[in-house]
Amino acid sequence: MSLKDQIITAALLGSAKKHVNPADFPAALRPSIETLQGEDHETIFLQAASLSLNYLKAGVKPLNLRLTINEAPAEEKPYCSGEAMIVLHDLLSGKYPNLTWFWCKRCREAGQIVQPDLLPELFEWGVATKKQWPGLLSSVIGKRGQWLAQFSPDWQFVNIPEEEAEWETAGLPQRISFLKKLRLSNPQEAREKIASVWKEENAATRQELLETLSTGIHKDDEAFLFQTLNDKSLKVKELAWQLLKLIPDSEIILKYRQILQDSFVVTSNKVLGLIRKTNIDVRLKLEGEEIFKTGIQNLSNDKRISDENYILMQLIGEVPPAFWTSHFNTSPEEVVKMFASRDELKKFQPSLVQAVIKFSEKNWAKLVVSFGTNSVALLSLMEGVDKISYAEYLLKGNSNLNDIVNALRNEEKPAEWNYNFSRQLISAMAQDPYTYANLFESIAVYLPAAIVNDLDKFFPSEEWKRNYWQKTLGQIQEYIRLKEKIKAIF
Amino acid sequence: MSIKEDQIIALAPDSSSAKSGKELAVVSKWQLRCSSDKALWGHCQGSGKLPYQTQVDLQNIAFKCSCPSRKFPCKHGLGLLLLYSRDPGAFTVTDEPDWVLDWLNKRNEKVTKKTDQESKPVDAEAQAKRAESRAKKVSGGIADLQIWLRDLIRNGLINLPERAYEYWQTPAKRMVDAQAPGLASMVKSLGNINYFQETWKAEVLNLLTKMYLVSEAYKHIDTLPDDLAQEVRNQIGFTQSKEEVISQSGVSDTWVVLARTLEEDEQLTVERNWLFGLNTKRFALVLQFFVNRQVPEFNLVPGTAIQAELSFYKGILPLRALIKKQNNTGLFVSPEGFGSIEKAMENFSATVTQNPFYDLLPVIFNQVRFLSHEKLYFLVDMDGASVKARISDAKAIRILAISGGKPCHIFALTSGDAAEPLAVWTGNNFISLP
Repeated sequence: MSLKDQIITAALLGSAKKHVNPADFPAALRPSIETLQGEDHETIFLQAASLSLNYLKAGVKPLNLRLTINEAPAEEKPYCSGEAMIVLHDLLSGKYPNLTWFWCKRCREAGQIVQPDLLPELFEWGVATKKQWPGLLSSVIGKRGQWLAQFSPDWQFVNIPEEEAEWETAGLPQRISFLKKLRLSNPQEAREKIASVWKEENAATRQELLETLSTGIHKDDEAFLFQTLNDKSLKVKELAWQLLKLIPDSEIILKYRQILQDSFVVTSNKVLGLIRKTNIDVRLKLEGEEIFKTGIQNLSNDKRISDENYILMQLIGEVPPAFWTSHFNTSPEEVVKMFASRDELKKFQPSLVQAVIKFSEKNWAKLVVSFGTNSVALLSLMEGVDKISYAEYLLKGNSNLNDIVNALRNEEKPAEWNYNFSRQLISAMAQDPYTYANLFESIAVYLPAAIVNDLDKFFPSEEWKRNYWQKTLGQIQEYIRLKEKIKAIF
Repeated sequence: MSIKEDQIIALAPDSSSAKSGKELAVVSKWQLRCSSDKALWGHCQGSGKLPYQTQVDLQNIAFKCSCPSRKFPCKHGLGLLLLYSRDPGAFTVTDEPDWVLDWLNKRNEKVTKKTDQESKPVDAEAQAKRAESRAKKVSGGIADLQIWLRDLIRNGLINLPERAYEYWQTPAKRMVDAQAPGLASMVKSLGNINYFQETWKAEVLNLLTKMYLVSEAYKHIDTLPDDLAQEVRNQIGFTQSKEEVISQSGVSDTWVVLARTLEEDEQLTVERNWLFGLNTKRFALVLQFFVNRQVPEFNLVPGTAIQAELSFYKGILPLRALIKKQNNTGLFVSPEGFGSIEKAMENFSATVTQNPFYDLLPVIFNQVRFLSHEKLYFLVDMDGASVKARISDAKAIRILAISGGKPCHIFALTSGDAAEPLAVWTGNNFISLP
């Protein structure tokens, strides 16, 4: 036992139980301790302890632990400028998550990395946003950041496994990120990796792993998905059905197509021997009840819709829109016209829109807007001028502004929205500042800088909201100032 | 410009002032922007009819503004200084106008006046009477303290973690009554120990033996050499008046500001500034005390260097000092400390041999690695010798980020067997760890 531990033990027991014995002390102290005898035990202890602790304090020696040196590797990319660091500091301390994303994106595009000073704060931002922007942080933290991640279990997500050995030891976020990447280059290998760990994982993890199949889903995934239909977890089973229905030529979709083919019978006859008239006879033709085990409901939840039509509507929503071009033997434009004009098809318009959205059919999206549908989901499938004009249409239709904005955001290429649309959007948001104040930080990147000059022209019609709106205006100016600064430094 | 943006932000009284200051650090907010080698001044349009007149003393970082804000420095002062640090070219270099000169002169006059006031004679007879009365009270208090210490030791310390906070209050109050605030503070510290940590036993024993040593030394104070007697008096809590300290000859040097820590004690904020003289190679601890929104006399910014004359309090190898005169604020210069941990420890040993009352001593480690090993942190020198670092994970990560495991410079407070880093720097990159 060390001298210090001996003294501590004696102090814990108390001098009534344990007396100081000079023999317990080092030779250098013993003569002094011996001179203390004759006093009461408490005084002797206090004096001996004071002397010993000072003796130890005055004789400290370094440790000789032979610690392994662990240095960060040298950087390969250049650091960003000091000015960029000042802006990043403002963003991180001011809690601007979306503008921080924009900063990181520009930094990555400029081929630069963050200086080490702000890495701890940037990691904290990355932890909170890793699901939203996976992989972004890893690209700007450089070798130092990747090295630093080893010191916090929460930061492991930045080191995405690239190799087999790392896949074995990586945590779930890294595996998900890795799988998504692998699905793009080698979907089969990614699926096999999931299958290899399937039995060992819990339901929540199985669900997350299975979700990665939605990237580049293909007919080849069908067999594995069929196996997962026997999973114990209801959520996993539901997800497997959803994924199977995303494969245009999966067995289940082919079955749905067959039912639709049988149920929408097209006949044509000549009227007065001159004009050919096409008739569509719509009648559900079902063989057995197997489809009701695949998520199709057999009873309508709306008394205005018959059960038969309700089943057909669900089936149309699940089948790729291209089915109709082959079934009616005509172009997508004509199909949309038929759904728009023929009484027997009109009621199925929302289902066709649903199918367009489900299979992300961009060309069909442009066509089905003619139904006059207010669907924000369609907006995300559109591009360029069509997109903005449909967004303007949705704005007038009182759609949820959050949804419109989310559909308009393009994080791959965040281009500014046109001036008129931005004006209309802010004008609409100004009517309800309490709901939308928090949205501005996320859309600052898309707002043209010149809008700052027009901000005072927008205000809520209700007087009591104006004070709050005034504060929001100040924030919008700050967001746009920071955005412009980021653009200028990178 | 000797002060960097993050250092200016550190001067802000709160985060909202820092944010507002940043928003004002744009040219368009300032109708007038001027600078000289001594000061900055400008006009910022506020909500009133006339613009606010804002001034910044560049030599001894200080602020003045005509705005009604009760925060100090206000957002205008911070904004003006931030703007200057970002874009000095946006300022017209000219002579100070009268309103700026008046303020700078008044600041200088204040220092001179204070020095004059401080050298006024005192009533020696009354002072001696007061001293005698206090000495009696202290002796009485010390006798009681030693009885209390002996009781503690007799019964053993094993049950201390179960004692309520109030247990420590009675002896602490007795020491206050005995006019021994230093001892009162030590007793209070016993109540502030974290008894859930394994280290509590050593911490308690260190404090108890220190109290015993101080009280025992006081009983023999008449036989002690002058400097040791003074040191014992310091420990008991006899204060040396500011006037007395300031009237001594000062030590002029370029003092690098290494750390600034704030400690709240009920209503009082205690600011500890650690300085190091580049020529004299000695440390100084400048304490500033303020209540609520009170303005500190000096704005000392870690990572800068000041040209100043310091007066040290009496004692053995004293650290505590007062700024007698400050001439300029300049750029940080990396100070020379110890490249060898063994040498730093020898220095620690030599100091505590002369002054056994020191628990923590400042030290600069040059070219040491900061390493993590089995969830503990260590400073390791080029010979492989190491010392344990007493530091939170958050601060440790900051050092690792800056150093990348490579050699860096660290300013720390050391208890001999461990070091508590307060600042780290590599090249010109200085990071304070408050």
